[in-house]
Parts: sequence; C-alpha cells; structure tokens
Amino acid sequence: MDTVNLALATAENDKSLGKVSKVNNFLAVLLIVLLSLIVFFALLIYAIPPLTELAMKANGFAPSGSEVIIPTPKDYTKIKLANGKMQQKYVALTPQKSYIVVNTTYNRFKLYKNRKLTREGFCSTGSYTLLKSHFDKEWIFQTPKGLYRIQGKITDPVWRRPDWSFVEEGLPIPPQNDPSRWEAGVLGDYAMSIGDGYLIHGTIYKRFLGMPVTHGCIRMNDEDLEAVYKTLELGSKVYIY
Amino acid sequence: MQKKYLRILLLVCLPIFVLALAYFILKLIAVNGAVDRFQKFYSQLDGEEKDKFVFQLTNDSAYNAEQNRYAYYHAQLEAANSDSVVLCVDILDSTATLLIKGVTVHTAKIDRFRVSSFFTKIDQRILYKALSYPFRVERQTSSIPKVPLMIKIAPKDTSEYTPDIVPDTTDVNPVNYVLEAKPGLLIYVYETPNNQSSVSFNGVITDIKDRTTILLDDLQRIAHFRKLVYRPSITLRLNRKDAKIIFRAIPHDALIILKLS
Repeated sequence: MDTVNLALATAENDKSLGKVSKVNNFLAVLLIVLLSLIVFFALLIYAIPPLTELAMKANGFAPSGSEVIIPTPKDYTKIKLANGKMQQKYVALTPQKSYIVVNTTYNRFKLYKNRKLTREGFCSTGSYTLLKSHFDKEWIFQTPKGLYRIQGKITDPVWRRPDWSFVEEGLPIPPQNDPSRWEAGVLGDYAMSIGDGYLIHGTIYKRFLGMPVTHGCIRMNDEDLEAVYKTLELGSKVYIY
Repeated sequence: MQKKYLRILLLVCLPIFVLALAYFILKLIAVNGAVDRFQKFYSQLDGEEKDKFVFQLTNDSAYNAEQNRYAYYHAQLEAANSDSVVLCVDILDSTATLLIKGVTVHTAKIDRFRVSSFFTKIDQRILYKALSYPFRVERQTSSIPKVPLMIKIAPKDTSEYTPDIVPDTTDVNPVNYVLEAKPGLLIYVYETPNNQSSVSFNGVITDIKDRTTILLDDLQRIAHFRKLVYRPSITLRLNRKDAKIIFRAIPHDALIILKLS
C-alpha cells in the first residue's frame, strides 16, 4: 500500500515539476525575445547612424576628373576681389552711428557708439500676457522683435492710457480724449518712440527691471534712460531680439 | 546554456541582424538620395543667381578657403535682406550668432558640436552653393514653448482687480530643440549640463526621442515600400541661457547661415 502511495506521490510531483519547468521555459524564451528586441532597437538607433556616417566618410567626395581645375593667379585675384567687396558690404551693415540692442529673453540692453559698446544694463520688456476682456477683445503684451528706428524723442512725457490699461484694472473705458486718460510722471524723464505705439521710457517700478513685466514697451532706470536718450538720435537703429 | 535556448537565441538574433543589415543598406541608399536631392535643389538656383561667380572644383585648399569665405559672405548678405532675426552657426569658430539685418546682436559659444559626414560626400561646388544661401527653417520642435504666453482674464470691475504679481522667472525647464530646414537639414540644439562632466538626463531622453522619431518614420516608409529619407544633421551643445535666447529670438521660418570649415 505504502509503495503504491509513494508511486502516486512521485507521479504528482513529476507532473507539477513538469508544469514549473514549462513556465520556466516560457519565461526564458520570453526574456530572450524581449532582450533581443531591445538590442535590435538599440542597434537601429545607436549603431546604424554612426555606421552610416563612417560609410559616408570612407566614401567621401574626392575631386577628380576633367572638371578639376588648378586655380591660376587670375582666379585668385578674381575671388579675392569678390570677397573683399562682399566683406566691405557686410561690414557696412553695422551702423557707424549709435544704436541699441535689446534682449527680450533676459531683459538686458547694450548701447553702441562708433561700433563700440558704451553701456549695458537691465531693462524690462513685454510680459507675454494675453489679456482677455469681457467684450471679445484681446491684447498680447509682447515687445516686437527685429529692426526698429527712433521715430520721436520727448522729455517729460505724459502717458496717454490706452484702452487695455482700463480693462486690465476693471475700469470702464473712457472716451478717447477724456482727462482720465492722461497720467504724468509714470514714464520717467524721457521717452523715445520706435513706432506702432511702442516706447523706450523710464519707470516707477524699478525693482522689476530685468524682468518681463511691461505691456510691450522697453523700460529702463533713470540713468540708463538718460544715457540712451542723449546717445541715440532720430533715425537711430533699435535691434530687438 | 542549454542547447535549446541557444537555438532559440540564434533563431531570434539571426533575423534581427539580417533586418538591421537591410536597414543599414537602405540607409546608405537614402544617403545617395539625399546627395541627389541637394544637387537638384541647388542646381535650380543656377538660373536665379544674380552674380556671375561660379564655384570651381579643385584640390587647392587655399582656393577652397576663399570659396568658403565667398559662400559665407554671400549667405550673410542674402540673409541681411530679411527683416527677421537670423541664426549664424560658425563651426570653424565654434560660435552661434544672432543677426538682425547683418548686425550681430548676440554671440554664443558652442560647447560641443557634431556635423554629419554627409557634407564630405557632396560635390564641393554644390556644398559651397548650399552654404552661400541661408537655410530656411520649416519645422521646429522643442522642450520649451516658443512664446511663454500667460492668459489673464480682465476683472469685471475694480473690486476684482488684483495688481500683477512678479512673474516667475526661474529657469527650470531644460532647453532642447530641433530645427528642420529645407532641403532636409536637421539642426539639433541641446543645452549643456551645468556640470560639464555630468550627463544631462533630459538631454539623453531628448536624444532617444529624436532618434526614435527618425526610426519610426523610416519603419513607416519601409512598411509602405517607400524610399528612406536621409537628413544630414548638425548637433550643437550650448549653455541653457544661450540656447533659450536663440530659440526665443528666431521666428518660426527662421533663416540659418552655416560656416562649416
């Protein structure tokens, strides 16, 4: 009886062992397939591109045949002359007069005179705020990028508040020539217009200099503004990036 | 290892290596396609060329240097006709500059770069011609928004009005982007990790993502029995500040000037 029981137990044991080994086999095959796929993927994205590069290098373009020329002194003179002319044209693109460069990402400015940097400092530019009103009108407060020119210069400027300035504070928009639109002393001692309503002016919020907080104008502290005002003339270039 | 596993391993690996080899061969064919594409694209410009200078095929390195200079100035002057901000990548000086109407407004040092060997494979005359015109960007993908727009709803009346808080100017987002220019040139710009020796985790992830995008595009083409497209690439590593300045300054259809050697 005991022998029969032992035989049955061994058979059951063998059966379960067989199941375990089947699962193990399946897992091992799965692991091999998975690892191979990872290796395949890595091979495609990391090994093939450099191999392609190597193949290109090995099989690079080498000038040969009847089209190859040996440059004569005349050829050299011609190309050097052409390069000289183009270099002159290129150098002439940088203004000899004073100009200012404004960096709107980090809110810095650089002032140049006779192609030399004379002053640099902090400024404030557009905040990239999109103001949505309750009457389907929107404004984006950003400083435009590109080349602009000083179109007007004024001392003791008075700010004429545009519509957005009232909307922003939840105030009703007054008529165009309403006295409530005029505000003195907030733009500093000087202002320079660069067109499209954008100004370079002073500020009463000096702690925000170096930050993007304006409605599109370029704000500076009093000393920098004075230097910029005295250096730039009407028509001077303003490079904004 | 059991013999059975070895057999399975061989059965799985063999097709994988065959497929990888096939992909490699298709990639090489694609390189030739790209050479033809460049050749065709720039030979079309022949009719439009205003000046009479013709690039020559020569082994004279001094003359080639002059031809390279010519191409560079020509591209600068062409780009100066544009009103927008232009990116100029000078591999020779390891600098990336921003230009407006030919005036340098910002210069950044390139920490590291990698230029595709493709440029050694094309006819010198075509290469100089390509470099003598700015490349126009067609597509940009990036880890940071181009315009960091914040939406503000106007208050209904003064009781709802709250003065603006100081904007958050902390630089936490990594700056990595890809500029895809015509005719199929990729410029990858990755930020350099603050610690030069450390590897930027985000940089690695972005790199894997970019490589996977190319691979998936290739696989899709293979599945549709179409030719693979090879795009020569230039990878630049700049510090975060400069990378961000450049990305925010250039427009969506920016012009890029290249000086390779």
